[in-house]
Amino acid sequence: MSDRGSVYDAPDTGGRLFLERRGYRQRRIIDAARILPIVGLLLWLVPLIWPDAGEGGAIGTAQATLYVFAIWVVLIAAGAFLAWRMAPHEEPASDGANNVQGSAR
Amino acid sequence: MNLLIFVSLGYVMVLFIVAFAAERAARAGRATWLRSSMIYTLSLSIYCTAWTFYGAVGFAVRSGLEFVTIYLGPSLVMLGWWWTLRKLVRIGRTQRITSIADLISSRFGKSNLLAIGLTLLAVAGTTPYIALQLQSVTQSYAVFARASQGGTGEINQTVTALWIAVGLAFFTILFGTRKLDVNERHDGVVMAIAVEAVVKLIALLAVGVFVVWGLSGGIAPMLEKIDASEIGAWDVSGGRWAGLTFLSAAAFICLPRMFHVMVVENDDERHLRTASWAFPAYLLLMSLFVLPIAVTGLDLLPEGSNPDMFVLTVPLSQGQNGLAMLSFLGGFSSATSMVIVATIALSTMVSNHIVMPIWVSVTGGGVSVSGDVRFVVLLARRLSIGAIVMLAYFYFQLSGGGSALAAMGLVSFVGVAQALPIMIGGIFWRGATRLGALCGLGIGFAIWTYALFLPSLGNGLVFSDAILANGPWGLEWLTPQALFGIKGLDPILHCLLWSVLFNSAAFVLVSLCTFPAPMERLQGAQFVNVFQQAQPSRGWSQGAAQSEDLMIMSQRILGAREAQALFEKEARLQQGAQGALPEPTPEFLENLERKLSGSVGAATAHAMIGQIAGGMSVSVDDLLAVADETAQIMEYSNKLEAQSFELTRTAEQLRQVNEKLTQISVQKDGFISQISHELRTPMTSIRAFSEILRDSDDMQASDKARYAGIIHSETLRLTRLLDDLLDLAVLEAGRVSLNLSDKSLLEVVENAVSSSGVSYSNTLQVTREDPPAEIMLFTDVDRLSQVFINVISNAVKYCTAQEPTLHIRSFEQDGTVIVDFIDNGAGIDEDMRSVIFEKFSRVGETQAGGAGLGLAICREIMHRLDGDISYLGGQNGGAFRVRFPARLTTIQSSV
Repeated sequence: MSDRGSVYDAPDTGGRLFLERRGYRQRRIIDAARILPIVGLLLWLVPLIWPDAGEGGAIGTAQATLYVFAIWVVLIAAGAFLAWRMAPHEEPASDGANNVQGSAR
Repeated sequence: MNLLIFVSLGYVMVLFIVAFAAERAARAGRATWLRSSMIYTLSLSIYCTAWTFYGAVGFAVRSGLEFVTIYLGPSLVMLGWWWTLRKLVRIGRTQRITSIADLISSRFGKSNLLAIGLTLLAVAGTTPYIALQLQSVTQSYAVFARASQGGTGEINQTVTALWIAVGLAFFTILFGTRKLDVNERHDGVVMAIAVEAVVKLIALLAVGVFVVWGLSGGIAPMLEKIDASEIGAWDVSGGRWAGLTFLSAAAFICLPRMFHVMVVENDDERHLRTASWAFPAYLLLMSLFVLPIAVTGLDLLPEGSNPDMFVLTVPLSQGQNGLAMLSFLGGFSSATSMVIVATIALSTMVSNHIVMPIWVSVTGGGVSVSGDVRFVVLLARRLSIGAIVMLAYFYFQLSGGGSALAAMGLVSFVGVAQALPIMIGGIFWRGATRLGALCGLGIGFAIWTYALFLPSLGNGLVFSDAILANGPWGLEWLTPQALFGIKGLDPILHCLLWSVLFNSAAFVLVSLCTFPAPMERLQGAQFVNVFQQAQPSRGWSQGAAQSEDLMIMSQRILGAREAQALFEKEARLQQGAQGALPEPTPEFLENLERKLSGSVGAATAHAMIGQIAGGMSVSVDDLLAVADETAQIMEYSNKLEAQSFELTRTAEQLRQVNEKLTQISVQKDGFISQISHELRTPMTSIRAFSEILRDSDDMQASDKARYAGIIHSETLRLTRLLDDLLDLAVLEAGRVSLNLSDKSLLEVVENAVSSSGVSYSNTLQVTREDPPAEIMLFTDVDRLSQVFINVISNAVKYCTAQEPTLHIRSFEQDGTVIVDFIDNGAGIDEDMRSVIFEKFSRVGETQAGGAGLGLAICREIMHRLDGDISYLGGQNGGAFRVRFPARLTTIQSSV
């Protein structure tokens, strides 16, 4: 049960300076998960600097929609990838493990 | 119209069946799939209420792409789960949080005042929102009624809304208040919500697909239509875009219903990981077709149609009644699921933080959990559900369903967002205090009420037009929607800016200036450091939080070291590792209970363990109180224990003294028999020889002289023995008077050597090793030289070497003079060394006929002189060490 906990807590370095490869990878994935919403926020604030209607180079709502949704799709994909990489060697369906926990308390 | 009612009822029936089946499955333990990440993600979809289902299109018609910000905020929050949600969920699970009010009140030292404030805020913020749901369902009914009867059929909206309200309250009470412990999942409700989430998604997607591919001919033409429409120009206010994104993100965390499904109903932290991307995907799908539907509605429907109902009216206008029906069910689902969860969350807050405290104070009921309390809690929850729904119904009646849906939703959002600063501050900043939270919340709440909520009720209802235009009493800077003279801001943005600004500022400033109570600090540390304290496995089982509590309680009762040892032992047994807290398995709980019952009695221990392991309504304060009381009892019993220990020790001492007395009595008997023996031997020969002298007449003079000589020497020996005995008796009784005088050590040793006669005879060679400096003594030198003489004459008597030598070595050490007498004889056997200083002990049957009192006398003398005499081993011969202070200050008395 304890090694499953590492999914949610950053792997414990135990005060060591260098981690083995797997722990290191895990930490960088968590870093990426931390950065992801910030990147998303910045990208979604980009429309603020677009010129408004009537000004030169103004863009239409359709284009803006495509931009917003494209970023959305990319963020979701990245989030899914990170979530998948964060799970260390779990069985694909977490239901079974779930049950064990439910009854273990 | 009848068909619509029939379909609605049928749909509700299906929901009932789903909920029942889920409850049954959960009870039977077959509910594993019910608790999957997918169901969790779908249950989060109660964020998408009827407001988003119908209102998003209306929003898009009014403001174009801006509607999407309502979804962008939650998407960012979910994608950023590692920052905030993870911590919230962990705290919620470890602290057994039941609502957002519970979270904040627990964080700030279980402050009930704060909980009441938040409950009021939540009720004030949510009631309009529930009214909104009633309104949207009623409106959608009306739309159908008009359409089905050729635009002439008008329904009685009041009655419809009332029926909907009653039905929703009934469903919520049925499935939402079955269990007392809110921390247990409402499987039926969650399952029904998940089904409704799927229905509303499918409904919206179906309408969207119909609009894009059925009416517009594909994606590219659709995009062209969007650009060509009246919302096709990009004209978004930057402030609103950013502000609404922030607002929706804040509301997503702070809305009581979102908190309920996200944190309280969370069964497994891993679900959050899946939902982190799956829920943004759900939101994306929900908003995908909003613009196309809005544009198509604008295109197809007559001027002045209600844009909030485009999702229904567009299919209806095209004769797609089946699709419209599906769309209606989607809207119905959105409304019902929101109302159900929101009322469960609110009723929990109302019953836990308002009704129960009042009930307890009125009835004077203690903290014991008995059946009647459970009943009261459940009843309170049921009544609050009914009351909240009815309140919303009256709000709906009052506002007349006039204001636009989206606007009301945003007003609600700003209200609940007032909890954000103290919530985020509470879980990330240990310095946040209860007073700070109260001030922040109060100011935020006040500004929201004044600047947004009351004006939103409509002109003239609370604020007159004059006040709205020029401020109260003509104070322009207090104008509700233009505070501090800043005019022209969007009302939502205006209120959001000022309320959150002042809220956060008051919270931080007051927190900085005040000092938290112990309970606050304890809770603050537990909240902020929830990941450091918890073992990795802790979040995974519901029992881990209890281990911590058990540990704290046990420490207070058993003492820190013993409790830690106990827990450590158990942890090692369970996991084979040190340092972790053990899982509170039944065995362990039993074990602990036994342990505690040794300290506080079985009944109390059972109650205390029960409160932590399975109990709920006893606060930590109560437990601490009990533990303190116990500590006092323990202290008292410790005193008793100390007293009884004292008694035991005295008894032990008495026993020892008694034993010693007995021993001494035995020794005395032995001594007397020894003395008799010692006296008897010379007496016998004196008597025999004196009888011979008396009875023999013809005795030669030489014989006579010889016999008289024997008698004389025996008498001398007898006298010496008696002298010794007398000496010893005087010494032992402590009646000896010491004759203190100054003399150098060298002189004393020289005198002793010459007095013992060795310097004249050649029987013993004496060598001396004198100290470098003269040592001046102040002691009874006569007694001291008596000891020296005795030791030296012992060496003369017992040294068996061919050429006996005696080495006398003397030196001073820290005011203590040490004189060693070392001969080159055989020495004394190890087993004899302990007895040589006893009376009448003689080593072997040697030629010298001492009585065996010499060394005993030496020991007594040395004791008087505050020194001692001991046998020195390892010197290749017999060796005695005499040790005494150079200057005698304290005179030893008898033992």
